[in-house]
Amino acid sequence: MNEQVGMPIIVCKDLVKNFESQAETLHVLKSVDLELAPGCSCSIMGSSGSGKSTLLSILGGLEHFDSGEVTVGNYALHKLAEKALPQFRSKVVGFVFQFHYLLKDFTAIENVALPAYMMGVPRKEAWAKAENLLEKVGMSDRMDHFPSELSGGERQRTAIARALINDPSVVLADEPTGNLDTANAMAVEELIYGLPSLSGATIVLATHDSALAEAADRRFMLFNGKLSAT
Amino acid sequence: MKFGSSFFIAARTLLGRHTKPKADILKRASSAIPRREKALSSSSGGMAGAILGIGISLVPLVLVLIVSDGMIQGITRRYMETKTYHIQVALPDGLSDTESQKGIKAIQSLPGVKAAFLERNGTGVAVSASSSNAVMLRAIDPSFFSNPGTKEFLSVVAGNSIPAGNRDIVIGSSLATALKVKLGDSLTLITPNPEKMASDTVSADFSGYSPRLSFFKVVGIVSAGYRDLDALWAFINPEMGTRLLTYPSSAAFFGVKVTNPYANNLGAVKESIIGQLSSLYPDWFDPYLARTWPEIERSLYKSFGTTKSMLLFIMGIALIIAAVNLGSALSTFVAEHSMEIAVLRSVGATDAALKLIFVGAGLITGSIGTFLGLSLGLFISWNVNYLITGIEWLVTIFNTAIAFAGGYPSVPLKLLDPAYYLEKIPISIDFAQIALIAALSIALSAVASLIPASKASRISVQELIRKI
Repeated sequence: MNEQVGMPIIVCKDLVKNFESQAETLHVLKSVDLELAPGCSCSIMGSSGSGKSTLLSILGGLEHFDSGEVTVGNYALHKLAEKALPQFRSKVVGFVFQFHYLLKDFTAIENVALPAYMMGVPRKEAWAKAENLLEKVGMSDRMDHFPSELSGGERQRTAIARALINDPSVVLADEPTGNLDTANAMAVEELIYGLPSLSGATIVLATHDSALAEAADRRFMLFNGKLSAT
Repeated sequence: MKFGSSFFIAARTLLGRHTKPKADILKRASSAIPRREKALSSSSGGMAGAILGIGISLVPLVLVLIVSDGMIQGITRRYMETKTYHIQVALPDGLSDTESQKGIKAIQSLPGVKAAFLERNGTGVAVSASSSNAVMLRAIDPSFFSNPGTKEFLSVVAGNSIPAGNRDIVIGSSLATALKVKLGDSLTLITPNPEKMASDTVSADFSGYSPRLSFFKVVGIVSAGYRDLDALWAFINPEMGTRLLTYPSSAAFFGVKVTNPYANNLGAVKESIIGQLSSLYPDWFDPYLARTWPEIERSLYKSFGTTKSMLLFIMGIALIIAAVNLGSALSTFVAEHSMEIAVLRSVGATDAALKLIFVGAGLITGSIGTFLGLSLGLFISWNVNYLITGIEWLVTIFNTAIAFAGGYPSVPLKLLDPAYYLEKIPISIDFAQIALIAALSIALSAVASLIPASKASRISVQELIRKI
């Protein structure tokens, strides 16, 4: 386990998130507290619908929350204006979803380079960086293939490279092996836990897979809207 | 977000891949690809339809513009070069030839003036051995017939164009047909004889005049290629004109041809003529006597312009409908690419960037449709005369076959009846107007994409991720 030294990269204090429906109010997150140091890996387990994805979405600035304080990097999300969220998402966090969500009309290298290119990185530079990352995730000979030409594991590796293209300080992975067979899941697991050494990013992983969760520096269980260390 | 990346994404998403997946990989991948990615995009067909819609709507617009411009210019130029001149200056009764020649010389010396002619004209009745017809008698200086503008539009069908002798007459081809006369035939002209009054009362409908009969020989048959002109004209020489065409049943005027009758300085040339003639003829000259060609045939050109505007308006509606169709196709495109939009949002794409992608998609679609439509429209316009001939030929064959089977005589089809239109459509392409249409079409496409673009920017990442 890594030592938590210096300022934490993620801080959640008394985080509350409810979902309102016509019939009832669903209390998904009830006073969640979390502090993570830079470069560590953390897994969150919990049953389906326990709020794991919601917590990751809040940390990634994709979801609003009802109360509490959330700080990721230098961004205090509870104070952050809506307009500043895209910049936060592009600069601070990288997402890896259960399904790869690669753009089907773009090659692997284009999929990886696009987030940087969209942020104004010159095309050549963005492509060179994408090439470097794809090499690191073992995709050097599949760069010019489209998602439909890649296996499930290859797509997820491409998605991981895409998450790292803007040098995020936090990588949020939501069930990254949930859609893969055992062999591919193991390869992706190795890659994900190698990310801190690969890019220095902090990993927050939501998973049902206990083996994947066990390998994290810090492990949490989300149950009944509360987060507890295991 | 830079424009380059937005257009890159828009272009790739619209136009698709540049390589095809290998068969074995495709087979392997097909088992693993989730339902959403395997589904064949219906929006690609919709976008192709939108491109086609814009292209097809532009074809008639370009065709109408070019053909109507060609026909209007074809008719107006014929009118200007053979009938109205570019500027006319009405002359008073009894102006001597010497005085007239002074005026002609004064006008010809002005900058912007190419030529000036003295013309007398009036009406009469032409009587042949078998028929009679109203005619417009014109007596013009012979140099009028050798003027390049006149020669361009007044072709000699038979004989020659100049009535050199006092008993020579040159008539329009349609008039010759109506009178059933040919070269060398005799023709009698009935004109009013103001010197021999039948009564003391003279009115505008010629009652009160006694007729004068004059005998001519047809020495030439000419055609301006436009029936309205060819059915009326009879040219006689100036000396005979002085005798037959007298006030008040006729008029005399200077016909002026300028360097460029379409130039904006036509009014300025008219003003300089007014200035020159005011000092030359201080006793009688008045500025209102000078008129430019648009002033002379104002109603005719206004009617042409209105018809063209109406046609363009109708064609413009077709283009607007095509743009609405593009907007609809883009909405489907947005809906089908909502996952990609969500992914882009998750990696930091701003609302403006997402809007730009779909406005870019609209611009690309509009540009391709515009290019295709303009190309096809220009191609058809350039070949419209062949196309008309081809259609006439095909329909006539079909018609003949049916007539043969039915046992009744076949009538050849004429889409453009030369009795009412030009014999051939002149093609006149104003590339500035074509560029304007292209710009308008592309701009409309961009406007049509604004609503789908706005929809795209409102797509929530979370809603989509939860659906999986």
